[in-house]
Amino acid sequence: MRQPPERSARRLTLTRAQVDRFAAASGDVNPLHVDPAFGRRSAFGGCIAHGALVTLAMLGTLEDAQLAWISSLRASFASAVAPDAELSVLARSGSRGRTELVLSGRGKQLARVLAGSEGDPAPPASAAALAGPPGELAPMRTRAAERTAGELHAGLAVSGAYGTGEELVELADTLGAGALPAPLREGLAWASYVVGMELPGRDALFTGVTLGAGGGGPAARQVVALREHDPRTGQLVLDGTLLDADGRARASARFECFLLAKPHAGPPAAILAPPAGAVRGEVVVVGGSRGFGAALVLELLAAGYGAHVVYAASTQSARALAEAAGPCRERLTLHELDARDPVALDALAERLRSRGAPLAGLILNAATPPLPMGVSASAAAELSAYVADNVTLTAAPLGALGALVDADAGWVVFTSSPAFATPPRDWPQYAAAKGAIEGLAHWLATTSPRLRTVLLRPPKMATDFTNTPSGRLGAAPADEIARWTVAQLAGGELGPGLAILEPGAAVSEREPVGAAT
Amino acid sequence: MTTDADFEREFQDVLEDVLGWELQLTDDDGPSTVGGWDSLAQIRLVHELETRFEVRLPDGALLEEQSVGSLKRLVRDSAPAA
Repeated sequence: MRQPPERSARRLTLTRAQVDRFAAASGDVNPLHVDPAFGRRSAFGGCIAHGALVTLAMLGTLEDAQLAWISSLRASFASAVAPDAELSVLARSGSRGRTELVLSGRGKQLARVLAGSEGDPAPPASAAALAGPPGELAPMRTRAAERTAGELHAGLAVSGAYGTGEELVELADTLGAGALPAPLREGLAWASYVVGMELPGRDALFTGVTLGAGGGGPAARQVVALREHDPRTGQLVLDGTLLDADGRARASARFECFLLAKPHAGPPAAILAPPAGAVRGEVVVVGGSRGFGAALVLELLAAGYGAHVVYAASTQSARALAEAAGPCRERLTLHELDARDPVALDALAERLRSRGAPLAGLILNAATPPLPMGVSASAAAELSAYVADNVTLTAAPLGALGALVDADAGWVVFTSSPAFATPPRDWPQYAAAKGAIEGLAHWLATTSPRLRTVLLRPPKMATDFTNTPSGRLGAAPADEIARWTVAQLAGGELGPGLAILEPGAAVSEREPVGAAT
Repeated sequence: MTTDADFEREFQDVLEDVLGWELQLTDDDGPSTVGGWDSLAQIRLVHELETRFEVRLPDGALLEEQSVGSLKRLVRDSAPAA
C-alpha cells in the first residue's frame, strides 16, 4: 500500500463572483447563496458558497492526471464556507489509490472530499424508475421550492429537465479542475441544484454527496427520490440519477442534507388586545426586529411600555413586527440604523432627548450570528474581529443612549448568554464576546451604582440565530423567555446595582428535542 | 448474530465515514480530541449508526456530548428500530 507523505497545504479563497457564476452555471440560485438580505437573516449571517463549488475548488488543487482518473466522489460539508474567507486544502493518498482532501478555515475542518476510481466509494443504486418520455419534462426551476417537513415522506420522487450552463466548464478551468471528467463536473452542479432548488429547496442545508460517474452525453434530465427523513433533526437522504438526452446514466448520486426551519417567520405571537394596565415609560431595544429581540418588544408593548426599536437591515422583519404589534402599533417606533454608527446613534439620542421624559429602559440585544469555529493561531484574528464587532454593537448604543435612562428607576439590560459560563464547543468567539459584554455590564453597575444594570442570560432559543440542524435541538421558545424577562423588568423588584437574570431555569422546557417537525 | 469483532469493524467504518480516514480512536475519544467531531458531525454519526445497526438511539445521543465509548454503549443498549 502506498502511503506518500502529506503534501503541504494549498491556500484557497472563493470569491463572491465565483459563487454567482456557479449559481448561474448550476441553476442553484438558492437565496442562501445569492441573496444578501436572505443570507443575513440566516444562522450564517451572510451568503455562503455552494458545497459543490467548494468541492470543485478543492479538487482543483490536484494534478490534472489525478483528476482525469477520478470516477467517484464523496464530499461532506461540515460547516459553512463564506465567500472571500481564507481557506486551506490538504491532500493525502490512501489505500486503493483513493485521495482525501480536507478543507480548513476558521481554525476548523470545513469539508472533506474522497476521490477514487473503480466505483469506490460505490455510487448508490440508481433510482431508475424514470417516468414519462423526454418530451414531457418539467422545466428547471428558477426559484427554489419551499417544501415543508410534512410533505417530505420517503418515496417522494421528483423528475425533470436538468442541464448545466456553458460557464461551468470555464469556472472549473479557473478553479484548476478542468480535467475532472465531465459527468462528475455536471454531477456536482446537479447535486447543488437538486438540494438547493428542488428537494427540499429553499430551506436546505447541503451536507454531503456521494457521486458516481456514468457515461453518455451532456446531462439533460434527472430523477430524484427521497429515501429517508428524520423529523428529529430534519435530516434527509435522497437518491438520484442524472441522464443524457437518450436516457443513458450520466451520473448517480446519494445526497445528504437537512431541512432547516422556515426562516424569519415573523415574531412569535401577535398582540391581540391592548394592555389593560398602566401606561409605562419608553424603552429602546437595540437589535429588536426579529428573534428574541422582537419577542421582547412585543412583551414590552403588551406590558404598557412604549418601544423604540433599533434595527439594521431586517426591513421585512421590522414590518412583520409592526403588524404583530396590532393595537399597540402607535407605541412602537422603528429606527433603521446601524448600531455601530456613532453619528446615527447620536442623532437618535438627540431625538429622544427632545421628547423630555427619560427612558424607562435600554435593552442592548444586538449581536451577529457566530459561525462554528475553532481556536487556532491563524483563526485568532477572525475570533477577535467577532468579539470587537459585538462589543461595538453593545458599547456604541450604551454610550449614545445610556445617559437618557432614568437615573433613579431605569434599567439597562445586557443580553448575554449561558455560553459565558458553559461555552458551546463550536463558538469560542461567542463565548469570548459574551464575556466582554458581561465585563461591560459590571463596569456600568460599578460606575453608575444607582442604575439597575441587568445581565440577562437567556438559554438557547429557537430563532434564526440558531437555525441549524444542531442549533434547534433543545432550544427554548423565545416568546416564553421574553415574557418572563419583561415580567421581571416591569415587576419593580429590581434594586440599584447589578442583577443577573437567568430565565432558562425559571421557564419550564416544554419542547425537549426536534423543533423541525 | 453480530460478533464483537463485527460490531467493532462496523463501528469503526461509521467513524471513518463521518470523521475521516485512518483514525485510531479509543473509547475515550470525542469532540475534544477529534478535529472534525462537531455538533453537525455528531448528528450525522448518530444517523449513520442508527442506519447501519438498525437501532433508534435516545434523543440525548444527538444533544449531549458523546465519546466513542458512550456511543458504543448507546448502540448496544438500544432497541431495534421499529
